[in-house]
Amino acid sequence: MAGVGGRAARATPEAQRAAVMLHTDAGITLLSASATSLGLLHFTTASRIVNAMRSGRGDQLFERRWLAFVATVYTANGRLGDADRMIRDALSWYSSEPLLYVARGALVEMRIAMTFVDLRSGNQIARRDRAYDAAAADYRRAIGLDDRLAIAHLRVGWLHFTTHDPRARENFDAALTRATEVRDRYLVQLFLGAAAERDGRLDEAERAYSAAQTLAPGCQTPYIALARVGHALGRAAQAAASAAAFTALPEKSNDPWWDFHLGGFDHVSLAWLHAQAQAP
Amino acid sequence: MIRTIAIAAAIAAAQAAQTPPAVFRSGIEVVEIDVSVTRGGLPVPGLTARDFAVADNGVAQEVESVTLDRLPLSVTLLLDTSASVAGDRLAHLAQAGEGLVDALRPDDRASLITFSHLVDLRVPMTGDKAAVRAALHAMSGSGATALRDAVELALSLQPHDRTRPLILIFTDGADTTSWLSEDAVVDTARRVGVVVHAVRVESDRFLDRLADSSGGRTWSATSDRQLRELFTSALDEMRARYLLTYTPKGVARAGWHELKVRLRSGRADVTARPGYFVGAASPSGSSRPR
Repeated sequence: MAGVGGRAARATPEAQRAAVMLHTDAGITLLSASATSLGLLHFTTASRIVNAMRSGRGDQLFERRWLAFVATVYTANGRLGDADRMIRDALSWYSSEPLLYVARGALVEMRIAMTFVDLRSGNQIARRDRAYDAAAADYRRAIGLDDRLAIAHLRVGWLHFTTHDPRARENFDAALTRATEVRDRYLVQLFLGAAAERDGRLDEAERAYSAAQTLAPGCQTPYIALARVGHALGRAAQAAASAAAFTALPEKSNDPWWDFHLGGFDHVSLAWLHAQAQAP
Repeated sequence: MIRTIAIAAAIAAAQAAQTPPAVFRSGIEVVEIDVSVTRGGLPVPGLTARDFAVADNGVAQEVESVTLDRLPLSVTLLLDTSASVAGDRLAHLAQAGEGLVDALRPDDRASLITFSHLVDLRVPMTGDKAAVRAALHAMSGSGATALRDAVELALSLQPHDRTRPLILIFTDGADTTSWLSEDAVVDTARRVGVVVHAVRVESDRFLDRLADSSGGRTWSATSDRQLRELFTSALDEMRARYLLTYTPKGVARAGWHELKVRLRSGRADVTARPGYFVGAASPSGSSRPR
């Protein structure tokens, strides 16, 4: 595939985008089937085409978003080194692309999650907290570049929530007013539910989880969360009904919480990239 | 979701018949407690109500009845089918589940719930053991692990009938994708009052807490071949339990009731759930401080 870059440079932009997405889809499928080497080969090929596209003009939105997206694919598959390299290269070309900072923040969070922290060690805790600060700084930078980016508000809000930082609530509220994608509206309702639940406002938590369930009725998490709230309220029958409703679903959907939690695989960007590749 | 098996595994590595044992019928009248009594690891047979001393929130209670192994069991098999289980381990797991089903009595029932990141009720509670066997052999392994969420679902689905419920968990790794926190699920377990036994491959603080809060036990499997034996041991342990009943006297109705159960005389290991809830909302155990 040595000549891919040269041939790609001579192709039309439409053909370039289509080729990139064909290789991207193949790479995702193969990675998720644990055919790692083959999957990475497709991403490398797609990357060469994108590099060829970078010499073109315009805002290069497709190229920027593709680079940020693939970084989330690598992160979600535990290819943290590959994700790191991709983000560094991409930021050297597009230093004002907010999604690249979101991807870097998620990468930092995954590094923390994969590192054992001895909670008796002050040094280790301090190191972890500094890493959290770095992730939060990336999310804030993304917001600084594009305040409308709901996913950045969500990620910094969740980080604040997990570290018991009171700014979480304002982050969630900001995400709520900016979220247009179903994924983001769903996640913000889950997180508002979590915040209310932690504060003991169980009725409010129930409303938020129900709102999440309405947005994504095939997703698992709201049913589990509502069952738990039912138990906490002493309403076992309500908890049982929520669990039974989940088991009775004819079809379950991919839950955005899983992707958010495990490195941020960005389905929204994937859908956008596909749409761009199919556009005339 | 692109699956994230590698990252989930890495996170895991880093983290290293009614009888809810306590049940109130029509208001608050009778409490039932599943109690295991062993000496030297073996069940102690032949005990009567006079042998047990029960304190409810520190107030001594009169044990009214003690039964052993009279009621049928409702066993929920809650099995990890994440990617780490795929292959030989899954085959051994299916065999272990089949061994447990074979050991059930005609009036016992079983259900099967599997979990990766997705929790799946494969077979609702049924007396049709063939259905459970078939589902066990149809299992496949993939995905991440949502153990805590799966336990919450299993606890919420427990039957309310005249059988003794038991949840038997198998997992070989740490939770990677659950929404719920440990505290939340342990709180639910305390409220629901179902005995939870767990067979695990690696030590797991959550499973230890869960078993303690439900009056259950954990077993460590040192090899996959051991699974069948351990599953049967868990069932035998349940059958050897006494079911104590008493009518609470001298204690406030609502809230958390701390239970202490011991033998009036003689030495033995007595295991029972640490208490039960009545009525009020949770004082602790928010689902998500992590």
